[in-house]
Amino acid sequence: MIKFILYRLFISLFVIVGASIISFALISIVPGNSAESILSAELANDPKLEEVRFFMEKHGLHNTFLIQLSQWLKMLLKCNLGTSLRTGESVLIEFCSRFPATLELAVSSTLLAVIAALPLGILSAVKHNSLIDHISRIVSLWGVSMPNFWLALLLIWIFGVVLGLLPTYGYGEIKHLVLPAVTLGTGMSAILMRLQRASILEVLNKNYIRTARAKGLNEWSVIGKHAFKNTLIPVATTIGTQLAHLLSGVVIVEQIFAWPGIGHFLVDSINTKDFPVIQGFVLIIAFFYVCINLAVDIFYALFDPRIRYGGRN
Amino acid sequence: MTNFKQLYLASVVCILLCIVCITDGYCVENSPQTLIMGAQKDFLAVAEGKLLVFDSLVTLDDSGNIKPGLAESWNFSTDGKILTLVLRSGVIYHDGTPFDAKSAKFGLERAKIGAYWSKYIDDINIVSDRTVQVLFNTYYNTFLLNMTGAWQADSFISPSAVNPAWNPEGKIIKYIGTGAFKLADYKKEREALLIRNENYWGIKPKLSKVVWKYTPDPYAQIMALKAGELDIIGLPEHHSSVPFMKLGEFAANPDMLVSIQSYGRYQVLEFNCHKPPFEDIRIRKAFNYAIDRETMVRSLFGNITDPSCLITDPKFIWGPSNIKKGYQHDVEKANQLLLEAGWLEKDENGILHKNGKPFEIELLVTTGEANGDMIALVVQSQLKKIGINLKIKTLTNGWDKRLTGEYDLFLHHSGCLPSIPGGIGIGDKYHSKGWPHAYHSKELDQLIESAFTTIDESIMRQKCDSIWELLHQANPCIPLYDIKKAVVMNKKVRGFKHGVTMFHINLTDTVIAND
Repeated sequence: MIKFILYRLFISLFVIVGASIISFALISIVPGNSAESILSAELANDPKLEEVRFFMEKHGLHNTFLIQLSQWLKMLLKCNLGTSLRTGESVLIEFCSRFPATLELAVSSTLLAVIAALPLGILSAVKHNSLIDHISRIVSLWGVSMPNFWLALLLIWIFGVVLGLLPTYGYGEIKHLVLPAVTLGTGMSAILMRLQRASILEVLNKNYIRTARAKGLNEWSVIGKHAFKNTLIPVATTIGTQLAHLLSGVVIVEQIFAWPGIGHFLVDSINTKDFPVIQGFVLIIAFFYVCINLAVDIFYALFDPRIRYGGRN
Repeated sequence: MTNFKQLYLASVVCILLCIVCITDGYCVENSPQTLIMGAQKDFLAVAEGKLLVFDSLVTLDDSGNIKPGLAESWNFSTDGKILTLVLRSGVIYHDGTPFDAKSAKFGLERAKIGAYWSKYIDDINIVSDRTVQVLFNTYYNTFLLNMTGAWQADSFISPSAVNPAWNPEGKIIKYIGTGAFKLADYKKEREALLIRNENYWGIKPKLSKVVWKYTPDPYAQIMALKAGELDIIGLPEHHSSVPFMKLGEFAANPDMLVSIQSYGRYQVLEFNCHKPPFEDIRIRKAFNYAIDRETMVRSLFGNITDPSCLITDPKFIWGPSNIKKGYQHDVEKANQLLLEAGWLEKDENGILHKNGKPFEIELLVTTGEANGDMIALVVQSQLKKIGINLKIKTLTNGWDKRLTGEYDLFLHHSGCLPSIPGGIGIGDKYHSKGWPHAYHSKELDQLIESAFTTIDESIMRQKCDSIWELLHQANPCIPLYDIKKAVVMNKKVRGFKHGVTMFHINLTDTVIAND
């Protein structure tokens, strides 16, 4: 297992750096000039051509793609992600100052989704074709179909404007977390619920479930101990993927709730072609994706004794 | 399994209890004379916020006349190469440091960094404790406009608030100015708390606190205003940030007030005059005749704003006040001019052809332009009526295209304060050293250079009149409408007045009514 983890981590180095280089290449071919966007915001007006040229020379933006890339790789070897062209701050500091907010929102939404989705999915499968099943399916379909921005505005209107129970935006207290977490958790829980339901329905027809029932085990033991455990692999994979997606920042929800996470900053950086931020953030986000996928793989082995890494399956 | 059920039930109860606890007693934070302002940008990311904390050397009125600021008076030598500034006495920075000639020189040196006009300055000398002289190598007419604060808003910072102290290139460590408000607390991309500067040299604001709340989404901002969590929106953005379509709803709401202000910034379509078809003046004129600005504005914006038929707002001190008749809508004249230019045949779709080629052009729209997407569609539909196929291309920014000339029409805006009169020429669009593919001519270059290098105001007026006359005849762009700024506030906000430029926030008379 340890060999497997080390091997995966080694391979992931190429994935992480590769993702960064690809993002840099893609942004390079997109029309537009970072100097103009950044100076427009700084000067509160259109920059003069001379100002744009001065900025480009100062930050090496006049160099070719390969020169800029090699300069960035040299910095990376020294564990330096560079400095944001927009803010003048270190990319790592920019990331670290925003990541706690993103992590808080991602973990809360995931927990909320898991707590709501897994029991409902199981119940829906066990009470297959009952009223509960129909209601759960309709609600989950609604949750999957509803765009985040619309749900966010709807929740703000109901709980903030009409009822006045919760703040409509902000960060810092638990009350600020409720609406963004529910917004993100709703879509995720709908996906998980449908997956959990389908997985349980599939295993309920298996021979080992029939055997368990024939042994005289009560229904909750059959479901909880035998069926549920065997449905965890696809569910865990989806939870992992969704969590990684949330950790990479959720732009629209962050923008609507004025949540100071990495998503909104990253999109602003993409719009202004702030190369050091884009490359640095993509590198760190790719690292999270790799780690979460690795954790999910390890989880497989823990929950399913048939899966063993390192050559013996 | 019983344990599993119990655990699940306990979790659900805990979540419900948490929700009850956090919503119980929730109320919007506020205290008397505190204004909570919704802002779509972070406090330190824009000039508008900094201008509450920092003062500028001079200010201006809404026509562009220079008024005293930290400099009480000034005069240029007869050749215009020496500017003597007499500084206001009794001004202190928020940290208690006195504002004097030494710190003014420090501020001027800071303003010079990265500024394209720094090449015009040879030296800055301290003459006395309250007098500073700026020595130019050539008369630079718009220098004082550059000192009104919209650019390099944090130039006149306390010299000890940068690291290393007194180094003009030093990094800001504290936001300490001489302005009407002190920055008491700042949370990046969340909020900034400003408190009244009790030692302010000018008229002290009546508000004791201003909270700058970062709320980037315009629709969420509207909800927050309705929920009473914000007092005012649309104020800290220089372009109108409140969606125009929502203004009617706010105007009808008895609990809200809407205030709309023109700053003379027109939305325009810039022609690429260096390639066909717009190198031909007849085509440029035809386009100006083809656009029905009145219908466009009324259908999109109702009575919120007005069409503009001149290149620049004539109210500005050096603006086109000599042009009495703007561009008019006249489809017949447009068709006649197109015919004269050789666009004779129409295909089955009604598109004009010349030498077998259809009349197809590309409009570049950058995402930062106010109402750009809506305007582009209306222009497209109006041009279709005279047989022109307009393709709309949207980009996040268009500097590269502007430089290389890969556009036919470019949605942009006219110059307004404080960039007028600089906005018409030096370094900007219509001088040959400005936008490479905008309208240029040798005559215009000479006029611009002579207008902005003379110290005699009557000569400057004559030259400016000639510039506007020449530009108006040349049809270098299609002016569309006045991009007004809309501010929406709770009814408890009283005495609000708009700032002198779209970048300045005026909170002098604003109060929060307690009734």
